[in-house]
Amino acid sequence: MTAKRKRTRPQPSAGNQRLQLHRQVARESLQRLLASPLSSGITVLVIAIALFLPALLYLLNSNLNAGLVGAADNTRLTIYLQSNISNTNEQAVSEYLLSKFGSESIEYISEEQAMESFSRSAELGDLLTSLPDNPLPAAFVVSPQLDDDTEIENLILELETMEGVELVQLDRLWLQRLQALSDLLTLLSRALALVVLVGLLAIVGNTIKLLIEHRRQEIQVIKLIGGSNSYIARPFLYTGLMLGLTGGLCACLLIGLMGLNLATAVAELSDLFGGNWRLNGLDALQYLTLVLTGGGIGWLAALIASYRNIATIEP
Amino acid sequence: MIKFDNVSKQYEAGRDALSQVSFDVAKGEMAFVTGHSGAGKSTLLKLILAMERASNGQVMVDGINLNRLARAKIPKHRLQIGTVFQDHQLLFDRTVGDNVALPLQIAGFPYQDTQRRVRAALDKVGLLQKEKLMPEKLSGGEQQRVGIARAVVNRPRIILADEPTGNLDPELSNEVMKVFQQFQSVGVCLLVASHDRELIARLNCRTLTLEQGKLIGDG
Ligand SMILES: Nc1ncnc2c1ncn2[C@@H]1O[C@H](COP(=O)(O)OP(=O)(O)OP(=O)(O)O)[C@@H](O)[C@H]1O
Ligand SMILES: [Mg+2]
Repeated sequence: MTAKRKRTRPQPSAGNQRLQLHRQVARESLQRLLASPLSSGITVLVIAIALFLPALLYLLNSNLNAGLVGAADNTRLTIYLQSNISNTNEQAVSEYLLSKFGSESIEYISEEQAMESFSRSAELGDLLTSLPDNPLPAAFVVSPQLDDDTEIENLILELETMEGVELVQLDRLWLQRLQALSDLLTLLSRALALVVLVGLLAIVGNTIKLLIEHRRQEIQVIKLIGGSNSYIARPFLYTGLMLGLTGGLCACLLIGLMGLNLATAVAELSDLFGGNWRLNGLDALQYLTLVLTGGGIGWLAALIASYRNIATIEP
Repeated sequence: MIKFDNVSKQYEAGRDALSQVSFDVAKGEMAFVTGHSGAGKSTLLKLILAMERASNGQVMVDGINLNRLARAKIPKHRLQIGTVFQDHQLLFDRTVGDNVALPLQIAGFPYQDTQRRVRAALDKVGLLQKEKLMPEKLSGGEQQRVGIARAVVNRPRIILADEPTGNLDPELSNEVMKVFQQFQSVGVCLLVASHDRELIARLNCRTLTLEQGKLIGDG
């Protein structure tokens, strides 16, 4: 144009200005959200519950795993002996075990010792002492430092064929079962997370789509004046982000409340069984991850909804 | 600046809203587009804004062939054109000031700059004291002037105005025309659709006359 007129061009490189613009857009989209508190509230609640479920599953699983890690260190092999075992056979078993393990990792529990510890630890004790004969077998308890499962299995097979051995029991069996359960839980929580992701994208996306439809006329006017699709999408992206972050925060609140209630119950249960399991809650980083996941999903849903719906609105 | 080359537009088959229109408006020039209702005035302006595409012929704006303008580039094209719409096209959920600020916000102007320019533009159309009001509280003529302020606030290179004085009394019409002439004097290219014959005669400007889509007069 004419050189006479001086044009002051916007300088988008100035970070301060950009921040100011973004703050303004953010304020605007917050106002819009608060303008329809019911639908915003419901969307936030849906996000919160949807995030809460996989997070809870994750929490339970990680607690289970923590327990498993602790328990895996004290794998025990118990070799129950027949009550009428001869001294030579008992000697043979003992020597075999000594040849495999150091004497410090082998413990012999006689019938009397078994009886004694049982009557001390459980209410069954009274019942047992009232019996005419001691039904408890003598046993060797070994803590094998073997990591290789096949090695342990071979050992068990060997022991089971020995004369006078009633039963060989590996404590690890239930550990393995728990491990399998934990693996299943992991798989489940991943599947659930995927379902939740897709579901939330659809639900939040639909909320944003409705908001866009609601502002159809406004969008047409902005397009007439020269607003691009991404300019129009910006406040909706903020809306999605805010819905998601708030939903994530609410999910954290739910987890926190649930943790408080569960923790005492778990502690009581654990005390009943003479264990010392305690429910671990989420740490700060995990809470943050939950909030950010909510925000990310909300933002992504808004992004998809915006690009699918804004471009089709033509003046 | 704006060049029509044998342009035809059919909304539906068989009936031309514009037919074989050719003209050229330079920068720093103001031209009226006149004609009866339904003659094709709004259609002509819509083609320049890329709201519609020509069925035949070429529309060139600032050296750009609009037939070949990619959809993604349309916003930038529209941003350099200030448009006064026949039906105002105001946003009723925000104040007069925010309506006028819209082109500046889209272009990414800083806040202080925006406020200053918005007041200057509102001052030009005599609505400075209504800055904080909502558009629905304004009369038809006032709304029209808000539209005019919004069209000029960005200091566009081209101004299109569709019946900008339709709701205004002669005195206000003259005020608006004075604003337009100020822009013309600094090199802006203006195209004003109007059937206000008196106004056109008074200003003694170049006039494009349409009749049933055909350009029957240019001068
Ligand atoms: N979107 C549309 N679809 C179909 N026909 C249309 C459309 N827009 C305009 N027309 C037709 O094109 C012709 C020209 O319309 P246009 O709006 O350009 O007239 P105008 O000169 O602006 O009239 P007015 O002075 O009443 O505003 C009219 O016959 C109208 O019916
Ligand atoms: Mg018209």
